[in-house]
Amino acid sequence: MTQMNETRLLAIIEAYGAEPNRWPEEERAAALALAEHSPAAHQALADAATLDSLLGESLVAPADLSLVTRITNLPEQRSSGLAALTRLFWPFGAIWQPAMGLAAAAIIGIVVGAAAPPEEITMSQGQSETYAMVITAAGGDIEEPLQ
Amino acid sequence: MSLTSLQDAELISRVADGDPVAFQALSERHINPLLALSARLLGDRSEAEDMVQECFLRVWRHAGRWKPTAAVGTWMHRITYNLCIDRIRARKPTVPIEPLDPPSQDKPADQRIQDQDIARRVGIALATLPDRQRSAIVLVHYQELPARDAANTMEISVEALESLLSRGRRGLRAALLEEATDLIGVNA
Repeated sequence: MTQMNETRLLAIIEAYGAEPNRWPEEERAAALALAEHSPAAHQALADAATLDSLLGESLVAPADLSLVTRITNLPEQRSSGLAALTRLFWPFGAIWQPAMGLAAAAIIGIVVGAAAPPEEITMSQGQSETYAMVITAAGGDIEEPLQ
Repeated sequence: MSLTSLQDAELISRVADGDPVAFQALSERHINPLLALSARLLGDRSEAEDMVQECFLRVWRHAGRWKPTAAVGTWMHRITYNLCIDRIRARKPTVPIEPLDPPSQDKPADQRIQDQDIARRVGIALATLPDRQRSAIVLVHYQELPARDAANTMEISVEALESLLSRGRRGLRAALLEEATDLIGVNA
């Protein structure tokens, strides 16, 4: 923290104006104490107060009902916007029922698939003979592995 | 328990869980400070409203990203500030020709005209400051953010913030106080 002296006090008044509530809180007490005994500070405070007074003439009207309503309704608008988008792609009523059904089917499929043993690939006697005939007719060697 | 009695941190936690009632309480609490920030940075009420709406949309979507290292209000200031800076960079400079807020109808007509004139000149003086000087003035003077929070919002040091504030106030003084006697009859 800067040590309080007249130079710092005048810098505070020049930056923050005449109202001590706007001064840095940690320096306020020391600045006020010094200001009581400083003629230069008295003049600076008077000049700053004049500018503060002029700035205070510029007011902003509070929000009107239209803006307040627009803002307080934002959550509702967001919800209804999402609902409208959903209806565009799913115009059949509540989407959670088919969505839950789809999710349940997916879960059952995954569980059943994970629990079932892997299926062995075997050929019946008839299938083996047919395979050999096809390979032989194509001029291949039944002993050679297929590429 | 009414949600309006809850601290911002509790509200934002509920918003992160998708609670629209907490979102409503949070938005009603912060809408006007954020609108004032946007309007003064942009100098355009309509654009300012768009930025505030966009800020709250981001809060609704990303409330879970808030970290307790900063106050919720400061975090929302930062979102709005960044949106406004992006908007300023994307457009040509403009100067407001109307005051941001019409004067009170309770005052006499001649007083209203004078107030409107002062507000218009202040608006122009603010709008013609360099962007970073205007941002510093708006965050500290109007939004009354502590220096450290304002500096964090602008992603600069406190020393750099003070430099911007000093230069900004000198620019405003030069633009406004020369006419102060005409404006409000003060002896500048």
